[in-house]
Amino acid sequence: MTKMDEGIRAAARKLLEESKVSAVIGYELADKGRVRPVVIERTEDVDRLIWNEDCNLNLVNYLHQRKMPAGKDQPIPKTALVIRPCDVRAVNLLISEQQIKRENLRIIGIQCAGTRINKKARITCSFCQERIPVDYDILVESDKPIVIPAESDGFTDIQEMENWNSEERLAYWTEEFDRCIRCYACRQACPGCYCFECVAEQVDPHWTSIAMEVPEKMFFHVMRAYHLAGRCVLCGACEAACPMNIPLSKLNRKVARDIL
Amino acid sequence: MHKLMDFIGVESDRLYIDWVSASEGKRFAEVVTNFTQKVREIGHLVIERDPHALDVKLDEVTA
Repeated sequence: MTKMDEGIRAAARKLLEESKVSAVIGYELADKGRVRPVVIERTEDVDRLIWNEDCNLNLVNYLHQRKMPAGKDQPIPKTALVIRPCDVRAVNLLISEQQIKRENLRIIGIQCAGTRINKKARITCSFCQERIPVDYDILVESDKPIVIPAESDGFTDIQEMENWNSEERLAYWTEEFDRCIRCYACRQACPGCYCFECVAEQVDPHWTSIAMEVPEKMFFHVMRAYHLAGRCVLCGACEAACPMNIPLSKLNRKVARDIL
Repeated sequence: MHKLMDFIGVESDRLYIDWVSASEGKRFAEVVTNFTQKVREIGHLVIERDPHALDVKLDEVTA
């Protein structure tokens, strides 16, 4: 058990004992040394919570399941989240979109030394300047040294691709999107994707076919990037969830670059 | 939207955004005719993909 785990568990135990929240959402150890999200509702389960650099999903996503009362005349459940600085940006997004209320939420903020996807450092972490969440109730300090990368805009790979010609870009994306299996894990993992009915599955009007072909996959990913224009917090949860390792954040960063 | 289409290598001429009032039936017809004509001139989008690209990966995994 690391110092960070201790801090998270102490914070979670306190919140649950004082009934400030009905659940703490964090990570626990799964088989083969992997981690998975866990919802802790009882104080005796608190010791399952852990933190390491493989905790690369955005737990803010789970708030969509907890933003309504469980039953009639019941209050909206209060939740605590163990989240990174980039996830806190997603909290701010959902607050500004009137999806959640800050008073129903307790943030156990992580001082983040960067996370990994499949044991490789994430692209979004390589230029991240924000290592302490902008908003938190309890801060858990990192036991690893925090290295803030040099002030680079994080768009170097996008710039490089813009210098390619149209055919090269089409070839690149055809290869990437060809791998897509349309599992929609990117959409499910994204805190900004919470439409009741997704365009990709809408039947009336039927915008896109369910075919497993490159044009349909292209449509889906470009449509998603467009719907997240100005909203994407670059948490990288889509890339972390993608079973085919498609560099999805490139699309989002391209949009971010053109807007800002 | 045009920029994003360019970014994935699809000619942005394939997308046309305009605004036509509900009362301008003639103009609507013109806009649609012009654009369909333009897309016909550009022709099909050719996506070259290797149909066996995934087979190689499958072999790697199952081997």
